[in-house]
Amino acid sequence: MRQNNHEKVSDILAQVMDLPPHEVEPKVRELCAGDEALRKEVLSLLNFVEEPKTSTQSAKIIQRVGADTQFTKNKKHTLLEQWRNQLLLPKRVRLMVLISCLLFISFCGNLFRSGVRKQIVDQQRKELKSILTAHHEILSSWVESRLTEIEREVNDSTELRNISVDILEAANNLPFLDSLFAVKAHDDFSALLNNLTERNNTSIIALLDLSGAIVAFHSSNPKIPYVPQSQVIGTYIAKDLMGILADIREGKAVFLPPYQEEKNTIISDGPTNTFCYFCAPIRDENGRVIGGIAVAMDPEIQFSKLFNIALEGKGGESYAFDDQGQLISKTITELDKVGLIKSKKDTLVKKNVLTMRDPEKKSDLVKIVQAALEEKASFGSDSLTFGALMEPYVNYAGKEMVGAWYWLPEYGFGVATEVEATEVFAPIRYIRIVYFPMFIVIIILSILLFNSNVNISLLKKKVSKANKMGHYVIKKKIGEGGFGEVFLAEHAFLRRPTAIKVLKKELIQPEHLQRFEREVQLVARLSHPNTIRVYDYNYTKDGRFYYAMEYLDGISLQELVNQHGEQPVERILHILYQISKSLKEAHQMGLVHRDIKPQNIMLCKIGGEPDFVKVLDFGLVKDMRNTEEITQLNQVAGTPSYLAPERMTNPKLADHRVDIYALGAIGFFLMGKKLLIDMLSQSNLGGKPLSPSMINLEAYQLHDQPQAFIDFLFSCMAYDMEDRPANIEEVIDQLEAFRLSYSWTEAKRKEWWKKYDAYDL
Amino acid sequence: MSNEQTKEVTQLLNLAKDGSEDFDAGRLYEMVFSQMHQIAENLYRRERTDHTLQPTILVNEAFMSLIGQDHIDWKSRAHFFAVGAQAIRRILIQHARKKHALKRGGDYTKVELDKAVNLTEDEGDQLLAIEESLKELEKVHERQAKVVEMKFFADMKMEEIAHALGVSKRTVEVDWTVARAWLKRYMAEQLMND
Repeated sequence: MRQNNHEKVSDILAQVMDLPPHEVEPKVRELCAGDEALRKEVLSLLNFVEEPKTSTQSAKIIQRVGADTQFTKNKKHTLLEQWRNQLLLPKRVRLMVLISCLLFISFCGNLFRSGVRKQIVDQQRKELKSILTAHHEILSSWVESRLTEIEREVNDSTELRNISVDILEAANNLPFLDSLFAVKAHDDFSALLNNLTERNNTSIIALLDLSGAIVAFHSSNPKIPYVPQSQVIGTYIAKDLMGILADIREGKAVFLPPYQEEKNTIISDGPTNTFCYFCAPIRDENGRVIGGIAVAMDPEIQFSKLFNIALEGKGGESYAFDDQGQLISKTITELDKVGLIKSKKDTLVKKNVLTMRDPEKKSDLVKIVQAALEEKASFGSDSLTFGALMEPYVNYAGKEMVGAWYWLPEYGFGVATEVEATEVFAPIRYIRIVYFPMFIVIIILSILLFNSNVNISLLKKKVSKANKMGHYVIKKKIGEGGFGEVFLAEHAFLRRPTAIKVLKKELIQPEHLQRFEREVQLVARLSHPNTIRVYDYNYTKDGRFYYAMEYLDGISLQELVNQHGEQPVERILHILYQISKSLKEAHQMGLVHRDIKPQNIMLCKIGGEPDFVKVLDFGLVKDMRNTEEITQLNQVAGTPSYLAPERMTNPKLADHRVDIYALGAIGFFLMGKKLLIDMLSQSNLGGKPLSPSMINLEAYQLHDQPQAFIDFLFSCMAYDMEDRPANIEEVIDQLEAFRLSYSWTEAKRKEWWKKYDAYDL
Repeated sequence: MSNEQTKEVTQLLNLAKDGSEDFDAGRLYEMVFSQMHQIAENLYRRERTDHTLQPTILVNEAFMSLIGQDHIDWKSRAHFFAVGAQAIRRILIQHARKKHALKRGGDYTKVELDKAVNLTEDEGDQLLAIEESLKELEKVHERQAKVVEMKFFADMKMEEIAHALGVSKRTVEVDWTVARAWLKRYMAEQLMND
């Protein structure tokens, strides 16, 4: 009982399962029409139907569709996602976030750089100071030892002292010092001093009395031109230097640095005054200071060398300068040797002195010297002052340097030491070299992030956009093949379900594009209801051609026969008639289908009409195939059963009768006579056509089919085009005539449709 | 898998698609079954402890080993899975019978009918119960039983089942809903009778 009823029960369930709960009972009662047992069975089964179909079944389907097409689901956001959504999704906020990140990164970069710089500067300042201290100490001990040496030489030698005392006494007694050179003692003085100068590397020695007059003079430096004693003896030392006399009277030895122009010139009219002087007092036998001796020394011999403690690898240099900003530790000849003097006119050659001026602004002193002199002036000349210039400046040689200085009041000059700025700040340069490209990369990444996030957010906000082709929103893929892919899509505004066929790039060579477009335009003009509608065509972003067409829900003739076997003659006529109608319009427009086959004909329910035929795939793509491909097809996929024989010799042939041939084959196919078609097409393609009389109809079980119809189908499949119906109108006439006796009634349509759509209402 | 077999299966599927009379359904089933049986044996041996077997993995593995990743049209895939569902059903039942021969009668407690995922030792009982009821359904409505087989054992999509059976998707959806209700009621009745 239950078994017999189950189909009925299923039918009723199908009709009520989507209804709202309160409508179910009455509807079941109505559908069961008084059959109480049936009603009970339906209701009992209903209890076991899980929730209304929509919430289980279609939810699942939606999910699956979602999985296929990246539809977003409402899922819980993690904290990270919330942050991301808040910070990165709104475009303006994202821009702000990115800019602040960039600012922060550059701020950190700068902080790091200045930190490193400060470290370097501190380190360098310490290093410079220790060098200066070393210079100071070396200088002091050198001066000290020289002075002691000379004092000892002078005072320990009785001979020298006696002669000096003699000369000084003679000078005291003479009314005019000019005549002093005549004093005999001078010869002895010179003789003695020759030894002294040789021993001490000194050049000139002058004997002074306490009033500052030169009373004896000896020169032994070959560089110095001979000066007659008469010219020197009797002259006074420079007024500015009179101060040293006080020291000498007090019995102190004094050091005078070189190059101090007038004031330092002990021998004023003498040779070029580029000496440093050591002055020591001369005492008589009672220990009383009676005069002084000034020993001149070429600075190149020792003084200059004191400043040659080079800073390893840093292009460093130390030098001494006086309060006029003159370089006193190097002679012009030395500077000349290293190529620092470009023109002798730059300097006072006579004085053999270089004033350290800024090479660009000739009027200004070099910054470090300027700074040292200013500092010295503000601290008073008696104190040891230290300073450093860690901002790069240009030194007298035109190089970028950083440096430090000491002002040594006891000697009246300053010592500066400097190193090349590029050397010092090399680490910073390396930081910049590394950091700058990194920063650029970060900026580029940020820009990319900014832009890609736009896409992500767009994707999130409007999922459809990502799956869009022109006006169509892609829902899912429904087919794939050698030609490309087919998608189910929906028109964005009309919401009309649409099939979109995206063709493989290689199918359409650029040279065919124009013709292809023309063909689509032509196909789009086909308006017969039995022809699938082509709505639109365009190119995807990656340049593939696609066209949008009517979406059909139904079954192809291929599937129909595969699953449900041979079809009744009435239905075959009904189907062939509709195909012919579709072909008629196309043929009138000069368009030949060229690929009529069971897979290309669909049976659908359209506008409540079951068994409605739709002819697919007009014209497009097919003629791109060449003979070779067709032959290959022949080997691979079996016989091209629906291919008219003349197309084997001329694949591009566009005679409308190739469609008539295929139509005949479809007729046999629907009768389930696949073998017959294969056999016919084999012999046709082989060029050995069979006449219908040669075919044993009984063997193919065709004897129980209407003979006239069979003959008609054979005539459609005739080897010679001329033997087929002349045109599609003729085919239609024939089919109409058959239909008069074999009518596919509404009831039959419905009944057969149920085999496909079992729960169709 | 050998090239020969791959070639043969692909050819068989192509024939099936064309509705060719040369299509040998028995041969396809034989090949798919032996392949799956082998895979299942390996799986059972590997996972001795809990005897978990995921039918979907089984049919997918068989598909991969017999056909590979070659682009195969989804309709052919549907054919393959339809045959695969049958094979899986047989394999699972054979295995469950072996293990549960002693506990005849089955256990009709809560049965999740959505698909035969993760069938462990316990669920072997359920499997036998389902098999028994499915056999009953076959007598009543063959197509509905077929739908359950494909959905439950091979987790096929509605479209695939529709294609394999040559019916509309709506038909498959209704069949699946009604068949589930029917199976549940049947199993519940069995439980009460016990």
